[in-house]
Amino acid sequence: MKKVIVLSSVTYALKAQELLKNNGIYSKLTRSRSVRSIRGCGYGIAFDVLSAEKAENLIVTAGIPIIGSTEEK
Amino acid sequence: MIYFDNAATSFPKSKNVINAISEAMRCCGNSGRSGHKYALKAAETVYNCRKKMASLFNTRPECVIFTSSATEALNIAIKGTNNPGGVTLVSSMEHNSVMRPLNTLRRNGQTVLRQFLVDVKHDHITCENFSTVSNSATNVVITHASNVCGRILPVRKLRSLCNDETVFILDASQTAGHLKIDITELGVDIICVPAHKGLCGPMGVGALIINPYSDIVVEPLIEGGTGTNSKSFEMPEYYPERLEAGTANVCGIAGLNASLDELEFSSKESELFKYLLSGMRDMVNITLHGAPEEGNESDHVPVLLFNKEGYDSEILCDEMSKKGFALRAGFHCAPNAHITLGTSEIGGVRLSLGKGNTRREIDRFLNVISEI
Repeated sequence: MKKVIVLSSVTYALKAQELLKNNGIYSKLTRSRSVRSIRGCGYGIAFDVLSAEKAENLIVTAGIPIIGSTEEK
Repeated sequence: MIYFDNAATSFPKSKNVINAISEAMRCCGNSGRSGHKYALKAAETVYNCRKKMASLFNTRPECVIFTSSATEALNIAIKGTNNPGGVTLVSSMEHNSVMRPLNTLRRNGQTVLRQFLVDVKHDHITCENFSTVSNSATNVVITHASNVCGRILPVRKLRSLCNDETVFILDASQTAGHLKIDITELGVDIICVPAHKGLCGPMGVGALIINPYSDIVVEPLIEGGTGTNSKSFEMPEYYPERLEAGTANVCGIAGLNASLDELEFSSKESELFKYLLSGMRDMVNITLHGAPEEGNESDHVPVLLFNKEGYDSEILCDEMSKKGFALRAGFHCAPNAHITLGTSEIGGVRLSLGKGNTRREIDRFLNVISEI
């Protein structure tokens, strides 16, 4: 199961991905259906659902705005 | 040919810059438009460059807005922050990239335009001239250094003479890459830069850089697709996408990304400038305009305006071109700077040094200009 956090832009998605990577969480940029359902077009980062709480905290603390989140297989 | 026209554009571009542009043409799709590998390669290239620019100017990556030029960045900054009914203050050294958009706002009754006189010899007089009019200013737009004579303006001091609410825009076209610029330390709201001058990147790229501590709101000048939030007819509220509608010049940004890796701040250019000045000051039939006195060379970026007795500036420039020197004559798109320097009737010849110039090239120039 993957957690997908939707960010407002590709800039913020890349910034969040780098932040997670520096904290040992590997993620992938995605423009999957679950992102579209929240944002129309946009970017999310997908990572192991077990890291969800830590990842969300890191992103919020860094001041990166989260548009929404979802889970996908 | 010996290239002394670096204030127009740096030349030649490095192999790494050319290779990065070429690679982007072969490997990059459209940044921020899809999730396939070509689009992601483009997005990563743009983001890496954004990070390097943010680090260079001490801001956050999302506060770096890529444009097609410093001129476009200035147009966005000036028109996107204008306070209708307000007063915009400019220096007497501004380029037309500042004066023309402001003149349009003035003509349409959207701003009152005021100017303060720059004293090229004394910063304290410049500051006194500024402070007599700065209280009424809602917006200030000034050059960091003159593109005509290279004089650096005392920006931090001028900023301190303004109200906190005054929007302060800095045109760093001639200083980016020559001076270390910290937007937070300077306290200005926006800095506009070209990629192709002191930063030694390609033409066709500029940047509008926003102070991360400024609460300024910049309205977009150009609206369109951003690759995100596509169902909305409104531009996004967040930077950089709010100000970056349309396809980015990914190849140009890739070139800038490479040039930033090679950027060095050394004393070489200022030492060459001192050497050039010491040779030019001694020539009896040469007049220097706005040049520093001995010992004050650090008040200038390496740009020198001069005329030779008996020569029209354009003719002298042509003669020097035939002898293998690339210079620029005329009025340099900055008519008020020429009024300030007393050259509004005759113009002048501009020599501007870059990172690749050598002492030997200056020796050759001094020999030819004295004998011509």
